[in-house]
Amino acid sequence: MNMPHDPIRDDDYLWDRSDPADPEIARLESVLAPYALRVERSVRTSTPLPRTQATHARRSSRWRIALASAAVMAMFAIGVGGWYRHRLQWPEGQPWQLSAVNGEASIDGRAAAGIHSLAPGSVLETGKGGSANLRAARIGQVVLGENSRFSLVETRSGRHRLQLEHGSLWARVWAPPGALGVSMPTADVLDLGCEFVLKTDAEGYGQLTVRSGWVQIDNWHWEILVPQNARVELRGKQMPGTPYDLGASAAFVAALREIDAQGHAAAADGDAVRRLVAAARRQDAITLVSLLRQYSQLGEGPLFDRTAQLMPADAVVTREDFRARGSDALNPWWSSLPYPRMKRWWMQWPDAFGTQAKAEVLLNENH
Amino acid sequence: MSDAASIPLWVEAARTGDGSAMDALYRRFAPVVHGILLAYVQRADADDLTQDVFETAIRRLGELREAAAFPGWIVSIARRAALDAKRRPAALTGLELDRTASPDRPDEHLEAERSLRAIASLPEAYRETLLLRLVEGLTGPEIAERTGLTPGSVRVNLHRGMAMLRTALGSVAHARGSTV
Repeated sequence: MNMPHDPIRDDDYLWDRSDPADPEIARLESVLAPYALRVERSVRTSTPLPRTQATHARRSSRWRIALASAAVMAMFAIGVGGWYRHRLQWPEGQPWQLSAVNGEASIDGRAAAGIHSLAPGSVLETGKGGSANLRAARIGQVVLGENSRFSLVETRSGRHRLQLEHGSLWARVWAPPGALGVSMPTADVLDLGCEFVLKTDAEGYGQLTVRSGWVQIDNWHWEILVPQNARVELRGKQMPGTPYDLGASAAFVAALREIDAQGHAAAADGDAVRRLVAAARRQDAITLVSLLRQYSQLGEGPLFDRTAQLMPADAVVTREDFRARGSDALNPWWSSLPYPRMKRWWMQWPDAFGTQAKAEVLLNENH
Repeated sequence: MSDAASIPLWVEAARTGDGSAMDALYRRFAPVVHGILLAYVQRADADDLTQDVFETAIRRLGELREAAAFPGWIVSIARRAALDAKRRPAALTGLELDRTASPDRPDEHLEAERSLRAIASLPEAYRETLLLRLVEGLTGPEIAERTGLTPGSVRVNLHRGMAMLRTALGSVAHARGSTV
């Protein structure tokens, strides 16, 4: 990086990029560009882009952000900052607006048609083909699918708690983590700034699919973090399965179910592990890291080696360190998973705007 | 109308709830805020804090007396946010390194980290200005317009800061060379 330089020439390029370019400064610009605001991984290249191409990529990235921000900012018509504060505030116990009801639906045993709100404590039920669309205070939207039994347990600024006894539910929330929680027969789901679909029967079997952000699912004994584009299978009173990417192959998911069924008895070099490793893609890293966190004995087999292959070169975890420190040693891998940070719910601006058509499609998915 | 002349108009419009004006301010000043934050905290935290700074600015825009003072005002909010974050016992993310920022080539990643460490060792005024120039990609005139500093101050900061950075990087390279 150290090259002969002429101070005057350097100063011109340093000041306004006047030609000729100073090669040392240009090199610094090139290697430091990935640290600029929101240069997305998809536009990053291993070699410096020509200036026009790099500029275009940066503008493109910023323009996408701008479109999202413009949509949000347009809602500031009631005053700067007012919309933001207004959106997160909600009087304790105030009923939620029931914005649409389709097909068979009832509240506390009475037909829901013509009813426009759901109060805390009331039970909303849908029958075959029925659905109900609720405004989740001011922080988002909840759509209840068919054959569901649901109630609003608690609602106030910063804390909204629901109960889904059985059925299906789609939620899209734009609020700080933890604002919305859903209690199920055997576990609770906590929104961490996201969109998700929840399906459960009365015994707690079903699945949680996360479309955006992160969701935490837990009970008194365990907790699991599920990132966007991933799913966990709910297994009644047992701990839910390990999260897997929605694009995972059938062979991968089948092997994962076997490992989850074996739990701590799963052999590090067992048949299921070998099949899972053979089918693992880069996008399946969330599953591999989660398995190592949950079942540390798997670190002695090919699962660890495959995870190391899939992770970025600068995220280094050694087997020796894993043996010594357990799941804490996996932090470099966990931190390298390509998902948004939980703190950044503010950036999930598109989540502020729900589309019921999409919700109904997701609720009616058969898998 | 020049960009500089547009800023007070955007601020006044934003105060009345004009969404497009807020958007314009965000797009214009987010890189400045991010660059200032990078002078004090790691990149992962700078990303998060950039959002926090704009959230604060949006809430407090009514307190800004002179719309033309917006550049210096938001820079001061960014500095306060960064210093508050530094005073916390742990990084916001709990991570020592932001690995999502690493370039695809490990050698470039190492070079970038070495350069950032060298910039971090410079006095505050040089550090901030160089980060805006070398990381965020702003030119000197753009830095002046968006921070409220005079063009002369920015040019001096860039020139002296770059000279110190060359020395720092030269020292590192020299030390590395002498140990091989």
